[in-house]
Amino acid sequence: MHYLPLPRTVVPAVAIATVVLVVWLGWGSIRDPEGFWAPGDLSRYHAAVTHCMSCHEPFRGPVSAKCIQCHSEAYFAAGSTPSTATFHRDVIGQQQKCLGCHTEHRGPLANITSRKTHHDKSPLFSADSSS
Amino acid sequence: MDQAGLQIVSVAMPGEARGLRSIEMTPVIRRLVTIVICITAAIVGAWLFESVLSIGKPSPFAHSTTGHFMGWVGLGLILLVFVYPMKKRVDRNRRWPRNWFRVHMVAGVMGPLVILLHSGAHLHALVPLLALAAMAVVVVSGIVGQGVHYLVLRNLNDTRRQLHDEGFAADDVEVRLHRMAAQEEAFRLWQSIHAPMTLMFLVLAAIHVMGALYFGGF
Repeated sequence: MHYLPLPRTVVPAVAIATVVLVVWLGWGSIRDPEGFWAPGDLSRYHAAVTHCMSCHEPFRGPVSAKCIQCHSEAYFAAGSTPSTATFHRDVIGQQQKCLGCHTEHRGPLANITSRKTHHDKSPLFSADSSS
Repeated sequence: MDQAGLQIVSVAMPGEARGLRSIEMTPVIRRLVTIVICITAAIVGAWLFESVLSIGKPSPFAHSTTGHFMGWVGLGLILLVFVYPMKKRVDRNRRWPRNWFRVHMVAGVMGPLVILLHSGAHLHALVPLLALAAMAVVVVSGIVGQGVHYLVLRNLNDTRRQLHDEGFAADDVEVRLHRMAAQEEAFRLWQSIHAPMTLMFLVLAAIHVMGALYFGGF
């Protein structure tokens, strides 16, 4: 089956539209990076975080080193029970990733703590603590 | 005129006997409706499957490691699609690469289906959303081109040949085929969409992959 050749203007028109789109994406990525790139809104706990690089390391993703800049030893000592602080200190000491339990970009109402991973063994989510 | 392209097929509905209007479709419209239903079912089915895979998980399947891997699988299948147009353009003197065209069609449907599993119905970020939309435009235009325009064009050529064989003058044939020719011209639009929009899709997909690696890591 022989088809007629494309009109000459089609490919340049799409190329120009693509360039315009890319420029707009670049502009939007600076103005509203979450809207252009994030797979979902941050939870209400992290609603105040506005810079992607507060949590993300370029080409490495979200890293625990960024988490503990805010969720520091002092932060746990001030706002958590001793068992919570000890547990998280141990987890960080074992080089485990915070992301193993705490996932983000799942909407403002999301529970960002998974209770099905190593927390099963933690005193934080034991039968006693949940009662 | 009782040609295949203009033939009216009456689909008798149960309500017809009670005086309701019957639905009348040409083979072309019937093919178009079938394609629209199949595409809608495929999208809904893929996203429902992703939802089922997400049950009981802290994050949706699409955002899991396996979900991200599906993106690479889908991309690999989609890249396979480009062997056909490259072979067609590079080896112009050789025979039409029929088998690569089959690969083009199968991978052109399977790849986007895997991408639908990779995306799920979680349409938040604009960049992947635009890449998904561009992919949809390319795929749908390709399916309409092969499924509908091919049918219209074949019917037009067959009818033209038949009228010539029956001894009609060339001008008379074109007058008689005016409606079919207009329909063929309308569906020819797929050509102006399918290949050119591939450029936009590839650029958006590349930006999406680079952004995912930048923010999500390797």
